Amino acid sequence: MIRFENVDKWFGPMQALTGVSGEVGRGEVKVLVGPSGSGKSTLIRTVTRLETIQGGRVLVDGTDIASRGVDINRLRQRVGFVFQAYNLFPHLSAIGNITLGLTKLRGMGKAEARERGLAELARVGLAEKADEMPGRLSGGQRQRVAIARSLAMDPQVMLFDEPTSALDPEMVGEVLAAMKQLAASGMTMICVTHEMGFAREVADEIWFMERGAVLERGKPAELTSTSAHSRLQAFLASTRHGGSAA
Amino acid sequence: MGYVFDLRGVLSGQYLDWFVIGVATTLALTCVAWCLAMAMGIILTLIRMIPLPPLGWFVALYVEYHRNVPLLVQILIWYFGVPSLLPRPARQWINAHHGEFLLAAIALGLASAAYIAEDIRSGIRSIPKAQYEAARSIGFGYLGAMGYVVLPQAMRIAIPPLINQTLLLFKNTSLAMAIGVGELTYRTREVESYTFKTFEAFAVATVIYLLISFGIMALGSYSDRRLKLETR
Ligand SMILES: Nc1ncnc2c1ncn2[C@@H]1O[C@H](COP(=O)(O)OP(=O)(O)O)[C@@H](O)[C@H]1O
Ligand SMILES: [Mg+2]
Repeated sequence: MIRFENVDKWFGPMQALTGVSGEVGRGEVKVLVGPSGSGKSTLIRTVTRLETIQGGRVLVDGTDIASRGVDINRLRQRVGFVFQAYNLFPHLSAIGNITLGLTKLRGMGKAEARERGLAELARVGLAEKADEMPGRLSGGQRQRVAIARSLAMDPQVMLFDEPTSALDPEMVGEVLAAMKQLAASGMTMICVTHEMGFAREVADEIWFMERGAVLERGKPAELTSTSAHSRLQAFLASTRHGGSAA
Repeated sequence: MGYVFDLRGVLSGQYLDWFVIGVATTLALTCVAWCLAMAMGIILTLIRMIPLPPLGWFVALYVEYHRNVPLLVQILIWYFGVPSLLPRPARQWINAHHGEFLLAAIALGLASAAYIAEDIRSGIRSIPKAQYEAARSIGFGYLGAMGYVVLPQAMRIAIPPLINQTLLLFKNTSLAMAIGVGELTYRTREVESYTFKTFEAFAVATVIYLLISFGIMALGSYSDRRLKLETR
């Protein structure tokens, strides 16, 4: 589904990704973990060309996303992206956030789009908040609306960039629940998160990144068991608990 | 000095009618010029968004001209200069249809557009890049992201300065008397010269200008409250 082949990314003189390779199969869930600045965000942002790369290739469904024939706006509809800061559109209601892409990009009628939007909101447990403005929703509710907004475009892949790290602790659970449900439905996902409980429950594999490279990958049980002598284990120990490292 | 302040003289009969016509003309001129200014302001903003340097230069030139040449001069150029460039039938049509009103509206509207374009631009600058990025990541192109996500927010943020521009535009309509548009100031001068009641005539005009300004401000703060973005 997604393949990274020797991906190099530079920000000016600073190399943010150094020869990253890896594969995410259809229906798989990968969790990216690593210290702040290790390149996690940069790596998933390359998948929708929010960051361009200087070396290597990123393939989605077998197609090099940098090749000429690729309609990037089409691709982005098929690859959902959930940001740490939600990035809801504050001038639109919850449902308005969701229907914008449906009506303007998909050419769906208003009524149909609203129906679809309501269904997506129901999936994340927010049907009754459809007409609220984002400013009146809690952080957890906003993030769930953001997830619904991505899902409405029928993505084949969902990318999550620390979707719970801006949230108050009591709201983390509701967002993780929505993500778990999504994983259970067979969605292909790459999640940057330090929620190890989530990783153990749904991840097929954890990738541990440091200084722009994937240093270690393996099944959650292998990497996080108390007997494991993994880099991940050391990292988690150094940050005491999974949640605080950004 | 024995001057008796008496409003009855200027607020009755024919003079009252002149005031009413004056107010109506001022309001009409404000509305027409305002619509033109908003449309042109948005068009200039959109042009500036296109990443082609010559277009940016054009907008910069437009803005500098309209902000630095006295408005009265701009109005006179439109009134005396522009029609002479037009073919005769167009000129005759303009003269037959209160050309001075139309040309004043164009001059006022285009000048105001320069300021409005600047206000919208600062509004755009204040929208976080993440909003644009979120729109792109849903699949919107550059123009879609700007048009559906960035610009609507920028316009809301720009409401307070836009109210200011509206007030300025409203007050500047009085300059149109210079080319014979029968707006409030023009009519006031007329009443004054017929009645010699200078203070009364201008007192009436002053109060009317104030009331309408307050009305615009009230309307503006109402829409600001209605449309204000609740930021995170
Ligand atoms: N737009 C940018 N311009 C310059 N440097 C950047 C930019 N985005 C990220 N970086 C740098 O790239 C490195 C990786 O960043 P990032 O992918 O955000 O790390 P992570 O998500 O793992 O915290 C960091 O050193 C960061 O400072
Ligand atoms: Mg990050």
